[in-house]
Amino acid sequence: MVEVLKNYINGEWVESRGTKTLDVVNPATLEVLAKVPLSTKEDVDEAVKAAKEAFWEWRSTPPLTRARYLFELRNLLEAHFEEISEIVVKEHGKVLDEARGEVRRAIENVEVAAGIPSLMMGYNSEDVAPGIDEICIRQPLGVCCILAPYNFPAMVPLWFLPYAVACGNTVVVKPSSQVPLTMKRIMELIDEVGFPPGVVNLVNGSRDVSNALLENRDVKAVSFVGSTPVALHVYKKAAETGKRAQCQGGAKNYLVIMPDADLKGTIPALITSACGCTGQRCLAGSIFVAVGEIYEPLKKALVEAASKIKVGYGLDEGVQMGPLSFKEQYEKVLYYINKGVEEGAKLLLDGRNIKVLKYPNGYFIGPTIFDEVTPDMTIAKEEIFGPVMGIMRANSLDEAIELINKLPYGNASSIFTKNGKWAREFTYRVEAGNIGINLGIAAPVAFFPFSGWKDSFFGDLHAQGMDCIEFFTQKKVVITRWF
Amino acid sequence: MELGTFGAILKFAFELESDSINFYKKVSENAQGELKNLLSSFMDASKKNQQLIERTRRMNVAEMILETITGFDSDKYVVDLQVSNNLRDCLNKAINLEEKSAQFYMDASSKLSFLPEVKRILDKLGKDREGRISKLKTISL
Repeated sequence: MVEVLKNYINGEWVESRGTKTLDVVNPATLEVLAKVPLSTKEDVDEAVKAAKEAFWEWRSTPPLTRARYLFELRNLLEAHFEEISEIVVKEHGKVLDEARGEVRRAIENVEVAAGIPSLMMGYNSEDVAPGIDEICIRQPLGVCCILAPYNFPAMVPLWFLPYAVACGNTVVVKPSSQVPLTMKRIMELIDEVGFPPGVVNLVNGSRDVSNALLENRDVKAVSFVGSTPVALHVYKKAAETGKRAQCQGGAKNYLVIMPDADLKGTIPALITSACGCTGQRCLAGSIFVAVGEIYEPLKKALVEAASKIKVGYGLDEGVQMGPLSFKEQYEKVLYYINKGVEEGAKLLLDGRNIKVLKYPNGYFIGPTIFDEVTPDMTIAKEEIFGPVMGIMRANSLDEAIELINKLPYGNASSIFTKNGKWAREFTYRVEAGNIGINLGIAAPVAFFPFSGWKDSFFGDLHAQGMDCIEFFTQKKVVITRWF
Repeated sequence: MELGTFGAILKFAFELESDSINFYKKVSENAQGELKNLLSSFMDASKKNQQLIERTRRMNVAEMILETITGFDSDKYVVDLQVSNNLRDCLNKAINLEEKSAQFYMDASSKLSFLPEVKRILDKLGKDREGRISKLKTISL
């Protein structure tokens, strides 16, 4: 009997009122792991009500005490590190090392947020006028909601949750309906820590749950990660109801390889960037812009390295790349590969017909490399979210930067070079929020903002670190005069 | 078998320590006195090493640089650990185990040199194994 997941509301695991469910499927084996309910507006309203009722007591709990809850959560996450990593592999498909990397990142955010007593400090000035002092304090917002994507089921919710509660807010999380099991396990650990009922709540479901949260005026802030069209929708809905919003959208990341790049170090970085997590991350490099004479050796080395990637089930020994996470994504990636061929890109490595003998029905696509990609092609413009690489040529750094800056997205970009001047020029001029120098995945650590520009982000304050502290607090200025 | 990932290398290290624990447990059952104590101490040290390896794997997995590792095969570090009643034979196997293990840790350290904390720990584990070789070679039966 497959388990039907419950919601976690007001410190209790409760059944959803929704009658429909979706299957949670292991994308390698196609085993149905659980059923996730499509919760209703009533479920959402109940969770928001619980969060609202818990708010005042929680926000008046001293930050140091709130931090201690996070220390305990951190210890439990460490204790269950392998177990959570394996759940990520089973429901998402990424390989175990990648899942471990993700859980590590999730824990990092809990650790950073546990510094809340000093992070949340305000500032003050004496004698702003004769005998008058002024202070600025940070206060929490109230109920905040987190709408999480499928590609990082542990990390993304914890980009926000620890900071939100550390600042004294209460939270309703909606995990992705494709990968709800990781967050379920983390929520069990949150329950074990003993957060006061209503401080952290979880409602499973799909877009109806998201919309119900967005329309609820008691929700004061929304943190979202997903595609650009949905990010824009969330941003608009948040504005309609006066919520703060931080909405991370899609990406199309170009990586520039200069003629002096150290190919020995560059090739593994490019492959990891494009094929890590099977390309299903918003920092994935998908177009490699070869500048000048590096084009031929780069192409040869790339094909050679990519064709050696061992594809399979992430829990199996030695596997380096897993399947796509679900059927629709698998079909979408196939669509883009076919589109690339149709539009005239030259297919150097074709991952479409890869066979993984132990798991013949899994959603596997091998590393795929296109050459002769031009900026007008669909595969050069749209986010594929799969292990598909395209090679473009440029004659100069200026031309490469121009290609990048013409894109509507601005999430990440990297340069591979030994030349500091080129690296500086690239950093200075590229219109993207996360820049890598000789690094394929420019993923900011927990105490830096996960930036993102242009159509890759809507809002002002990003995920992680001080940006999150700013996002989850509002400033109050107090001006004092004593007679 | 090719050790193509950070996790695969650390997993092999963990298994190497498991094999060492089992081997020294069995051999120490047939030994006496000083030798028994020495072999038991190796067993205990390998148990601690497992904890260290597990912690290293958990704490040092760096998402940004989870790059594929090439040219590292585990086959050359596999040793015959069949325990016999002949202590001399077991001692020779122990020396072989330690030599192969020391070599593995040295090679692994070189492959993961871009992770300084991991390299430091692998170097330490390799040196510990070298220390065991010296001790085993001083034993006369």
